[in-house]
Amino acid sequence: MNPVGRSALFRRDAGDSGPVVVPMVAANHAARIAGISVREVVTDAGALVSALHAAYRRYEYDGIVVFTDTVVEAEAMGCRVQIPADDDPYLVESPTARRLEPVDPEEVGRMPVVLAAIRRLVELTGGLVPVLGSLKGPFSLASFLAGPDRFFADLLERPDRARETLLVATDNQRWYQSAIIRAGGLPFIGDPVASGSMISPEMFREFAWPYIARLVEDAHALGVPVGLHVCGDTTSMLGHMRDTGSDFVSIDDIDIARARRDLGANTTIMGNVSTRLLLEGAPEQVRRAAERCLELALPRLILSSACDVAPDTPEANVKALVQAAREWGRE
Amino acid sequence: MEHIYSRLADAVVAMSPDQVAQLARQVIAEGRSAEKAITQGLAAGMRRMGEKFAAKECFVPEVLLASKAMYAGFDILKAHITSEPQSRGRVVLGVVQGDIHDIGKNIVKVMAQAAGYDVMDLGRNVPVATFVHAAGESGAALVGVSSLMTTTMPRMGQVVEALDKAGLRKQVRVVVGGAPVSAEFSRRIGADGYAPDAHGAVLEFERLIGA
Repeated sequence: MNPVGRSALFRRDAGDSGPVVVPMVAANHAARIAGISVREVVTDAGALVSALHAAYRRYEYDGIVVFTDTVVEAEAMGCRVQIPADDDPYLVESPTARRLEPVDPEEVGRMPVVLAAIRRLVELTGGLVPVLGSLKGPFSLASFLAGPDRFFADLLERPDRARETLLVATDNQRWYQSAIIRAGGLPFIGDPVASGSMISPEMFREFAWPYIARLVEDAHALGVPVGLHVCGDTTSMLGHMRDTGSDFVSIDDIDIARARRDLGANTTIMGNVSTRLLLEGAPEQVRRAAERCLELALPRLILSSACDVAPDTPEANVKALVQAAREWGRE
Repeated sequence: MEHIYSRLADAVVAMSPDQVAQLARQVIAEGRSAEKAITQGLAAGMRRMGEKFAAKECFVPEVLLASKAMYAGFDILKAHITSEPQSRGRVVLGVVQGDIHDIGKNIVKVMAQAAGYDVMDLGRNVPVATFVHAAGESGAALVGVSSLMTTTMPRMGQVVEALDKAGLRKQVRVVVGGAPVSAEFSRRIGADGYAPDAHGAVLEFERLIGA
């Protein structure tokens, strides 16, 4: 085990005890490790803790990501969500009639499940291991609340209405983020819909950036570092991601050398071994991909997967990813 | 003065439903061909949007707004079509079960319709059996399957297998797409085609059924 202090995660470099590795093992892959159904893990705090802790002990990485699914907050705010027996929950319908408002994260929907899991995991690891509490970026949450089709139309045709939805989403996330921090977690903002594969860098700057920056400001005021992950091809918006003030920028399957060049030496990059390679490749290929990340992006690198580790990813591949960090720089 | 059909195409690219509707009404008022306004105007505009999207000159919200503009014109023109246009073939489209990311699929639908295909849209979160049933019943020449998540990708292979088992693989070509999908993945699961975006999907349809 190689525990690191929570804030040390973002300061440490290769100089001391080797690179930091935090693969994005979410509830679904952890459920496989623990032999529990995904539905149980995403609805029950005890099961979520068992699964994430089992995965942590199996792989011995340097931080635990508490991520159940993308629709936790949307569901709490009134979206209808389907929770399959052994698969990720998904959005079925956005609220239509009801007026949108922020909801109490300690009380409503499955947010309390996530918060309880964060508290328990911090306890179980003696406060020595960073526990990253995932929350949605306001852009993605707003798209769920308005319905993706209407939200995308609003962005161009009725930007004021899009901003109204974004403000409610932001208020909710500020509340939720403060609860994550109180529970002992470090906020890890995921904004999958603000993906570079979906929207232009200009639109990211106008409709995603200000609201993420607001969350980052809040977290910093509470003395806590924040991470930001955006899915898809973010090559042309890396600068905007960094300029949210996030303490680390997590990148999907894009060229890490280019990311390092664009972000500069002072930005911590999290990433980015392909999740497809992790799912389908051999451990030796994973190891080589991990070594490429280490070679190109250290010292300010949190070695990780490009996105969430797929549920059926072979354990040997996640182990190879962790092992690459452990053996880096040794003979 | 530029021809009204080109101006229709430009108005689609300019993402202006109002302008498209106005031009469509003008086409009718001047007694011009609704068919040509659709193919040389609306469809040509959507094709240009598809090319711009592939070149990253525009993104999803812009394509959706252009589609809205195209439909604004189509709704006005369709009542004035005199001859039933020759369909280039029937396409069944759907997003695999467990996946509700259907924006990409919806764009493929618009592009395919604009290109003259008869589209049967199964929606999102579609079970494998529904694809097979729809392909068999409708006599479709093409099935387009998409998945936006690594977790639901394997279901695309199940669709190909199930079509095979149902004895439909001789008459139906399968094209797969979605962010995590690659040409290599499509070959591995035995699909006939792969497209990285909506414009590419229509090109694959054309390649596979020789339109």
